[in-house]
Amino acid sequence: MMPSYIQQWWDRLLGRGTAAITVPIMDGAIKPNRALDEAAVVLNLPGIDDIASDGQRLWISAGPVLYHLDGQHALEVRRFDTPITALAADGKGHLAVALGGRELHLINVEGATVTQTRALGGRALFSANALAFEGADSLLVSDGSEQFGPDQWCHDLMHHGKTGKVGRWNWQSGDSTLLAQGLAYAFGVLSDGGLARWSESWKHTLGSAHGSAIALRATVAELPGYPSRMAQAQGGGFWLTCFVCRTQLVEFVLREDAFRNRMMQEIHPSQWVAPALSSGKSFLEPLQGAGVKSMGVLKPWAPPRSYGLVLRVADDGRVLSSLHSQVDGQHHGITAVAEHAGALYLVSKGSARLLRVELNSSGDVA
Amino acid sequence: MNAPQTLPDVVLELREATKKYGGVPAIENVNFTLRRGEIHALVGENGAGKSTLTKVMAGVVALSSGQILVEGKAIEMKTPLDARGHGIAMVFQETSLVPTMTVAQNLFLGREKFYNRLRGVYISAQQFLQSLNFDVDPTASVSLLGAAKKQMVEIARAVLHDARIIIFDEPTASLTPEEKKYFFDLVFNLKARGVSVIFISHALEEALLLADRITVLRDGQHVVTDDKGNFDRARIIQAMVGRDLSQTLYGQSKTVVRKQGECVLSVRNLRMASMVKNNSLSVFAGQVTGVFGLVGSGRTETFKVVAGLIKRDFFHGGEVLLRGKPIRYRVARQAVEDGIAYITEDRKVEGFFETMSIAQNIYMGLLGKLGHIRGAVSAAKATEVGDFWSKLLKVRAISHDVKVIELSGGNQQKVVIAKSLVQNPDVIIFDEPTRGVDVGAIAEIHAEINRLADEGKAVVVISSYLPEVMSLSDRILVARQGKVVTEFAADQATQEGIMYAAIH
Repeated sequence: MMPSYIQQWWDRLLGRGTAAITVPIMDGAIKPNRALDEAAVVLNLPGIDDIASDGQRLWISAGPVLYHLDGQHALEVRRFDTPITALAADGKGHLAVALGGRELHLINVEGATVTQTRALGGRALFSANALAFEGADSLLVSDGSEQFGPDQWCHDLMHHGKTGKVGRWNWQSGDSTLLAQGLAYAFGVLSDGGLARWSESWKHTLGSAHGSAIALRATVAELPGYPSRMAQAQGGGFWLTCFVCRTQLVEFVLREDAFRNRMMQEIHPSQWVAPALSSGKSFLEPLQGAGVKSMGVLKPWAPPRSYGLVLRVADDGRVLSSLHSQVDGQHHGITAVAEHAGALYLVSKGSARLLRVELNSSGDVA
Repeated sequence: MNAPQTLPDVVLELREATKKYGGVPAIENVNFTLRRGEIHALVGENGAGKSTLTKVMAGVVALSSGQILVEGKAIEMKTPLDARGHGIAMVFQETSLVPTMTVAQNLFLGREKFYNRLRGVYISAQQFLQSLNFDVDPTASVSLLGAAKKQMVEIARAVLHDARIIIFDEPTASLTPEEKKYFFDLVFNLKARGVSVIFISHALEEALLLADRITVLRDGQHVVTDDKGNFDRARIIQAMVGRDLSQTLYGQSKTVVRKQGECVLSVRNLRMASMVKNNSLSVFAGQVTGVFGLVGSGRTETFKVVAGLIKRDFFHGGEVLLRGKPIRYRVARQAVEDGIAYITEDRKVEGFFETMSIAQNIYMGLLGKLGHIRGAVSAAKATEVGDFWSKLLKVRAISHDVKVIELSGGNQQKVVIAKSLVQNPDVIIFDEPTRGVDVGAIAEIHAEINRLADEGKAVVVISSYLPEVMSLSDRILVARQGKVVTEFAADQATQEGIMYAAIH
């Protein structure tokens, strides 16, 4: 066996192993379609970020405001001082919100705070970005990074951030424990029948743990996108959003330290060669091979700088089906998903829209 | 024989042309005319008979029945020399130039004088190339020329030999877009000089751009010849694939698709010389993954890399993952040990040991898996294994001792399949599984492929025959120019859709 530094040098020379600039293909159950672009637009809401269903109402967070959906309108419930960065509902009269990534508030349906915390397992929250109720008195929390706030996820990616953590907050007792730490951007948690699942975005995997046990081997690995928030699927398994997708160009940039550092020093973040929640709005944005117009037509079949992707995943980690918004679509940057009233609601943060897709009796997209 | 009647501007005509190989017609009762100064495109699926037809015209193969007329006169054409005597030259995909000689030497090869002065040859070649507007250095060694320049030298040699009819077999397959443009100019230049041109192409846009008339062949038969203006892409594709499905064993697309299992094999951004270009695909357990593409689309090469038979690019060659674990085989035996079986498209060269018996061949497959070598080779075990697989796959032979070379194509193919299946692989790659196989054996081979998928194996079927891909596959990947360009779910695939994706 070669020592690891020689192996790394060798891989880098030959473009193999950890230096292989490759991305998984979207085929099979992840074959691109237009389901997200064909989804009904429920409402346009600037700053929309997360949703949660308590079985009765669909709750929406956009900037510092908490709403609930009333028909085709969003009714304001409470306005906070700082942006809401995560949202969850337990169906028993409680909501949980993360504020500015640094505070967790347990509130009632009128919006009044019941209790709150600023730490998880003895460590301060910095970028709390997803919440999920677990049992009667616990909340699963993902904290993306200890260096960058929720809006600066791209900075964390470009810095190869590994400071994310996932933990459990017992809001009755006030205790909290860490389930995993040192994660390459934790973004999304799900309580799944005694199993706590979380997304580790920059590693393109999902992790899980039983109870307070240590983390299990990745149950879903090598995704074509960066996984984010999840929601239970009534028909079995769960829905997984991928808020941005992988491309060979970004993979290349992530391996070229000198280029990346200089890019971060000299170029505005909106124009970095990096994934984005939406794209095509400025001619200054970097073009990628997949996003180039050919014969006057924007090629639709490959992941560009921004993309819309939601996966339906079975309990054993197999991807069952997927919904896409391709390069020429509008509904990119899907950050949240929830089943509510027999339909699937999705947040397209890239287009600032709440979308609705009808589900059939078996829980699949109709 | 009646005196042939033909139109005055027709320079070459084939009447009721039939060529049979071992009783099987490659072309049958084909009528074809080529006009003076015309560019005529021949299109059709793989195996449609295009190459056979042009080889007949070029004297490479002789007709079994039918007539060839040049300038209205019936002629006998048995060798390429006969064809050259009648002003017909063929430019093959693989050029026939001598790579170690210069351009000028190649041009005058076979026309040398008793005493040759090299300088004189170069000057004559230079003048001749200039007269054709060909920018090729006559003193350059052919081995140093690019594909387009080699084509130019081939063309120049054909014109120098007074060819009035030039046949191109897939002339643009190995050319870059820029070289293609150059080639198109050359063809128009030839047309302007009154030379008639026939060219075979899988690229329909080339046929529509270059040709004056287009002929479509299908299953060895002439389907239609018409002026370019009367064709569009849809009509050509319809003519190419519109076989009567009721006459085939299969051809209906699947209505029930097997569920996708575990992702067993994942190919990511694979590169292999100019044949495989950034190719990515996945293969799932419990499904038949069909791979369709025209010749040169990189299908076979991709899976040969997977099976360790050829190597990907040394630098940035991409990744192949087996159950999520990266693999890179130095020899094919390592792939066999990991449960990957590749069943070759060329069974006579790569598939079996022709002088060995059925049982010995199948037993060789078992020995190929390292774990089964225990020092001694057992004849009893070979007979046992051979009997089991012969019965399972219904290999028909007078006796088990008969040499495999003496079997029919279908039974040979079954032996090749058994030789791989005896290794109990998890990923089975069938490359053209029914090429040159009789109708009865096709159904049995298809049944075996379906049985393997039903057992939960990951099965890949590479085929150039659309009905086969459609009837077997749960998902269909279409390859073009070295990569998979699209995927069809089997219940949504159409022949026209697949062919369109394979060509455009």
